[in-house]
Amino acid sequence: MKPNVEPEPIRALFSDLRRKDARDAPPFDQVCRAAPRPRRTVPRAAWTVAAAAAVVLGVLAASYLVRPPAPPVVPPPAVTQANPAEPAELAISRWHSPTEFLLELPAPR
Amino acid sequence: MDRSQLRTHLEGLHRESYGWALCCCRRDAAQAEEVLQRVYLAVLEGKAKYRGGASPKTWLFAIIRRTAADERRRNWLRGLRLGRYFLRNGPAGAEERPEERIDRDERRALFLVALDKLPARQREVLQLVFYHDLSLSEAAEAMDVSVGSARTHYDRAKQALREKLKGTVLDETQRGAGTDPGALLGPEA
Repeated sequence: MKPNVEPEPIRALFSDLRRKDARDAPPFDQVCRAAPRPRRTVPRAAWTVAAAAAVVLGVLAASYLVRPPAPPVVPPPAVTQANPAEPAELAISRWHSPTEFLLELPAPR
Repeated sequence: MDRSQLRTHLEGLHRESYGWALCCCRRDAAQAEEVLQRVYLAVLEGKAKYRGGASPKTWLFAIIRRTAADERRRNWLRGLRLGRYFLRNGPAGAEERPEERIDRDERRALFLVALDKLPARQREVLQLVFYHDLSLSEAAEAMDVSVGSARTHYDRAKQALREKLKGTVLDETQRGAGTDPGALLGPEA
């Protein structure tokens, strides 16, 4: 499946480029023989990780130092729990109603 | 294929492979050479095996493309350097010059700048079809896309490149092509 091939100036430009690249191409043996270059990506990755870790640690340290002092711990009020084993002491309430006197005084006639 | 056959095969395709690696590496020669080196090592050490199907050339081109993409991801900072290269060597002031003064190197530089502005897929399909004389289906295999997608990229790329080169390189080239197809390539052609 060939694309439409009209007299393409684009094709001519690519041909020119191809000639130039062919001239500039390194010899095959040189490419094959050359040892792989040491990868710089590993140290770069290590630096990246170290920098990220330093930033995280810095933020944690700053948040720890800047944090306002915690309020004093107040012990919660002691809750007296009823002991189910001991029966509650019975008592008569001394509470008086504010209108109790109405029950005792004669009603105005 | 044994190692010596593989080596012979790679050597036969070396210049083509270099051109394709240059395209995949956005014309960064050092990076292209590094990519080729990794590809050759992978092929010769048997890490990349040809299992039939596509043509050996298409298979090799697909490996180069993948390796270049991998390399690009690892060395993304190089893109910034290349951008600076184009800023330095780009077509600054080209519009002010009369067309007749645009020589072959300038035309090529303008063409490369226009090519570089195309999206990667469009640039690749143009390179595979025009530079490496692959068919669209072969280009699609090398690019790992469907034939329909390759055709779409191809049509859009031609259109975009024509628009980018209109009034400068393309007119000059067309005039040359109209009279003598070899003339536009200069004395080296």
